[in-house]
Amino acid sequence: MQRTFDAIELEVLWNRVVSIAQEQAKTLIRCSFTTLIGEMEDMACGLFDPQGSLFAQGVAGTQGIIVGMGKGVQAMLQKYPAETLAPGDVLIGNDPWLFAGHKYDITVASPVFAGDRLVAVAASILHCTDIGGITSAADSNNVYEEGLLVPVMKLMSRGRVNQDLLDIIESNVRVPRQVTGDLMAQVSANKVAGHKLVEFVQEYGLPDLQGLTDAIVSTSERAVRQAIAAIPDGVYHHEIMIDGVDEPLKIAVTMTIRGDDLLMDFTGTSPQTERGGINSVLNHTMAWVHGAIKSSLVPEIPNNEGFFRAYRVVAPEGCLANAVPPAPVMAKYSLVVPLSAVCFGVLSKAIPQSVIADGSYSTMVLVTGKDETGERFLQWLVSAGGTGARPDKDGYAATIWPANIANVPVEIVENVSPLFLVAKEFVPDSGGAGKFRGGNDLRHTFKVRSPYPAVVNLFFDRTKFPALGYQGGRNGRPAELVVNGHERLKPKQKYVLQPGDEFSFCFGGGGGYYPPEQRDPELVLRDVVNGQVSVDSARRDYRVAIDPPRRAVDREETKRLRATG
Amino acid sequence: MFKVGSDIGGTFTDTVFLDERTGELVLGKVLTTPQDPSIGAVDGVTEVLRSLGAGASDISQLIHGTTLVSNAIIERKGARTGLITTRGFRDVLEARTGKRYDLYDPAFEMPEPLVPRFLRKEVIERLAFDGTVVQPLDEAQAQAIVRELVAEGVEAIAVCFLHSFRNPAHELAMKAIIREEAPDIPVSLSVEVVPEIREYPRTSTTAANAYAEPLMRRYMLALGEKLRGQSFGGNLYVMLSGGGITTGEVAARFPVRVLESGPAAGAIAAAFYGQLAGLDKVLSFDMGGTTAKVCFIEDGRPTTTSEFEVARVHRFKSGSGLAIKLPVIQMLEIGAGGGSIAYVDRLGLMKVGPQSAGADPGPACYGRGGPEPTVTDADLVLGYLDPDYFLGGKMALDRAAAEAALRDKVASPLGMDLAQAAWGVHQVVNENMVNAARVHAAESGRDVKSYALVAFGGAGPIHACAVAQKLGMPRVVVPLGAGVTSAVGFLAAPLVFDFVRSYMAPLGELEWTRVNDLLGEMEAEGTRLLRLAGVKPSDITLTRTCDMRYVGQGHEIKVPIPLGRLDASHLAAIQGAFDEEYLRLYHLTNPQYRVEGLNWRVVASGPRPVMVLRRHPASYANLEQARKGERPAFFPEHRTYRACPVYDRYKLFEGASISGPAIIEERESTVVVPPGARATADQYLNLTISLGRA
Repeated sequence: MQRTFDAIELEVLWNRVVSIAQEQAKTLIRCSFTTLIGEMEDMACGLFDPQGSLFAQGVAGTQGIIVGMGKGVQAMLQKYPAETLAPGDVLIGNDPWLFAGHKYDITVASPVFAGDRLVAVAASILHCTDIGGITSAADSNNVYEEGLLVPVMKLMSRGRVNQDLLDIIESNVRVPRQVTGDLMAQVSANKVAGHKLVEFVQEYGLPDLQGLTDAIVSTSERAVRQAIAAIPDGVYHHEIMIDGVDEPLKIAVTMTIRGDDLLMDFTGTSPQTERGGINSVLNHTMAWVHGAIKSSLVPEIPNNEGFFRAYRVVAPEGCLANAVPPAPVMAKYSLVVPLSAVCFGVLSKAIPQSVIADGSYSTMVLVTGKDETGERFLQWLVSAGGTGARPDKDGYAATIWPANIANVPVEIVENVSPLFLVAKEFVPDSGGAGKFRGGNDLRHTFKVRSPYPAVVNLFFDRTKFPALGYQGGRNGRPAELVVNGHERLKPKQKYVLQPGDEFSFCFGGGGGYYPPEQRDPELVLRDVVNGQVSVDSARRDYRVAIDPPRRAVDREETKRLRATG
Repeated sequence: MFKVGSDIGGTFTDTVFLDERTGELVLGKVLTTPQDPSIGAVDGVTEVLRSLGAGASDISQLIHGTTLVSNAIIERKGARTGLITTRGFRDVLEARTGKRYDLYDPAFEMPEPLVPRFLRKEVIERLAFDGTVVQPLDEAQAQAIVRELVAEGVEAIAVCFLHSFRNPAHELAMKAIIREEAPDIPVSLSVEVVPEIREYPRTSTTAANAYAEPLMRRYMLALGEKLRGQSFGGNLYVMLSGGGITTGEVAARFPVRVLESGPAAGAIAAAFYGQLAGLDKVLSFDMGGTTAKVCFIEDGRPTTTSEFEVARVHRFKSGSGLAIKLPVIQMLEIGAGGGSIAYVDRLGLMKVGPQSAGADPGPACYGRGGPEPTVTDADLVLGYLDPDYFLGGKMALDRAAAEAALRDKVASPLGMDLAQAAWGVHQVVNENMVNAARVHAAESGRDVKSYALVAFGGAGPIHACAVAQKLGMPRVVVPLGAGVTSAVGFLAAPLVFDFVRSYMAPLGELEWTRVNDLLGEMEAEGTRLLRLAGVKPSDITLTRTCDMRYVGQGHEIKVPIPLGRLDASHLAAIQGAFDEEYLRLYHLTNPQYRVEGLNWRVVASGPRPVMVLRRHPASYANLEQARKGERPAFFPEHRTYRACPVYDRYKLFEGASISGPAIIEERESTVVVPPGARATADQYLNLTISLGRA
């Protein structure tokens, strides 16, 4: 007999499991060994039922790996069915096609037993610092070159660590302690969640969690479908271009809405690339469809399997959005912004009032080399340019969207590596003009304090195709990579930086929303005073005349400019 | 002589006098005077003095708390502030961490920086990570920048250079230049405000300090003058966010340190009442109209942390505010109060808060036309509140309005009866607080079951027992006078000076001379300041902690370290202390990894004041005299309304023991004693409630 829950019980119990997932996430963040997790939170934590349905997720981390973890735990349970698992077992895996789309993302899942009964699986996924293999995605020809694949297997068996596996991992990666340290942090976080879940089940005298998890999932699916039903029926199409490795690539999507049914079809998208790893496995593509739908329709409903059941995603096998093995996939992150943008773009055609215009590219810049004493170092720099404007407000400078990763403080970077930041500054006029302006770009300029050359692994995009403005808003400025102030680099390569060279990178500005001639002149003035928009751009793009010495809008002239159109 | 606490809140200024001879507490409440809050503060003091027939010269010390600084930042009423940074980094303040507070919300909003970009100037200078000079400070350019800021009419200047915490020379030189160019403009240096690694929180904290300094300085001057005008000759102290008190001069110079002085006082008061009841481990629970605040307290000391946020765009979303990196009592604020609104969301679930009906129109039962059902409405419908004795009868509650709102907005849409819906609201708001308290406990590695709850605030005593039961806590303490509890905290706090220095190195590679030097410097300064404030050397307590982590981790934990001269022979003890704390927090240690120290902290404190309260005069001895009557109240154990006895708190006596279900009323709050629980009054009429099994 399944228990049913009234509106109060379900609220109370649901909140409780989400708060347990939150405790899990807090533990992982605090225990992690790397700046990637500790400072940037490139991770996710979730609780699953014994069939592998996600029912609660911690409110931290990044969107892009949630679906991958969700699908991956199901794959783990296929290989190790519930009845074969014992208390103290911990599963691990990083197969890009089963999980989140590249080998860096390692999932660790711990079955949770109440007595001898499997009631749930606590899992976490994180982007490890290194997984061996090549470091430059641009050089990758196939997935075999991209480091160590850990098939779905046991990391721990009845509480005993599989030391052989740890030895293999430690022997294959460049920073063994950080990698296995983070794995242990995952084990620790899952353990905390497990303890709490068991306490919870006992407190409420529940035989197991099944009734509750089913209620959570079905309630969520219903709500998402209701929101879909509110979108006008129709077939909507959007496509965008990206830089690609050697030549531009297309991502196309057709969204079909019929009643409460939503289908995202990526037919028309360029074929998968043979080199450079700009490929997305289906799980990863689904993550960004999920992100756009959740953001635009139901941002307040907690993540769970109910979402994954409420809409369909189709992508032809062998295209960028559904790459098949042995495609190189390590740079899946290069598709995060485009996949998200194309989904928001197609949604904007149906519901222009609840989306966000294109934002800048964002990526990690990996620098490797030797410090002054000859010791090897490896340091990521993470950041973003501007976010897209919204139908009722500006975008922000130096803010990541749709990923959500904190940058590493300059003072920490300089303490743990020989990197030396020369500047970290906004780029005026880089945000797309609009009634609401796209966020401005952020430019990093750095050197390496070492007598040895260093390698900068670049995997940029948006250098040819900027963030699009929506509904008459202008595009943002493209990304750019420059050495010593003049030498412009191609976006995807392994660049050798000589001692003393100054390297600067930026990601592009966000797109604007609605035509710039509609912007309040006082806001244009504020931006000009703050050096975010130039006097020229004010005049040219916004058709606002600014009198700089007086710091005032020339009203007559503005009126004339705007009247002449 | 009297020791006086004075708390300026948004609406009222509370004053509490402690007669140091008799232990009697006398209270006063006057309206806050927003244009010049020092007027209200002095009015409050004068009012109580008059009632006591005493004069300002009878006051030995006045301890003050104020929301002036946080309000100035929230309402953007601080000084026009300039910021000077290392060349290339003026945008650090606005770029923040790059992260959003919400993973999915496309309509996210970040707080405006306190210093707009055109008032952020860059100077040519640069230090390396170890403090060595890469580029000397360009004094001529620095001078020119200061002139530009002066021309812009700035009233305060903040300075934050990269790595300055390793070598303050450039910031100090910058200050000298500002002094020369603009002797009247107050300067906040990051090395003085918060010499800690990580440029964004340091810049943000320093900018906030500069932003609030002119206001706070004017205010402290005005307050001092007015008090002296009344022949006050005692010491003036201000409550710190971290729970100690500090001198008026320090508060005027470092206003960001007193940002959270009000909530801090509440936690100190809870600590005091916990100790009075003989409890070492308590969870302070302050539930008011809009929010509930909880805080863990051990051995009479509230837990502190060194980072928080001010002026959040979304009050309950961490990451939506301005980062402040300074000691603060670690308090979790939850959007759960008497005014929290209940509604049915689009999933068909009952939600409560964080939106609040506030004071106006307030809950439906206030009868001011508020259409939304709130927690207070539910508590009224459940029979916990007396419509004729709210605020001691000053305000009649409209039960019919409460019922109508609950029925329309919650009960009918969910197909429930009124009692079910009201109990649902009560339960959901309790669960919200319980979950938040659990996550808070998990984050800090605590077992909440081993704590007792100390409840205050207008709504605290109604919800305390249910919350404690859910958390598996055995005991609840409800001090007499919920509206006063916070102010008592001002009288119970020790004088404190805290310091921090950053020095990042693995434990095995520490230069011990350097460690001893920086700890010694901080301790000498702390001791000097305490001596200056009149504390006897034998009363001075020094504690040291170090923020430590495994090399490569992004977060640190605070670990106590030994006093005295340290050398390599202390390594084992320091490593051991780290292991112990890490194990407590995370259930495992990683002996194969190296541990490093980042921030070294010293807290120098004076003695904790001994506060002896006056026993309540034993005018009554019989529970029947205290019994006001009975009214129907709903308890889930009974599944229906049953007649529940109601008692007058003021007619209780030492040893009076009441078993639940029962309701105990005082002017500002109502205590609900559920079935199975037993409340016992002590000689001060504080209640200790033992809970039956949840």
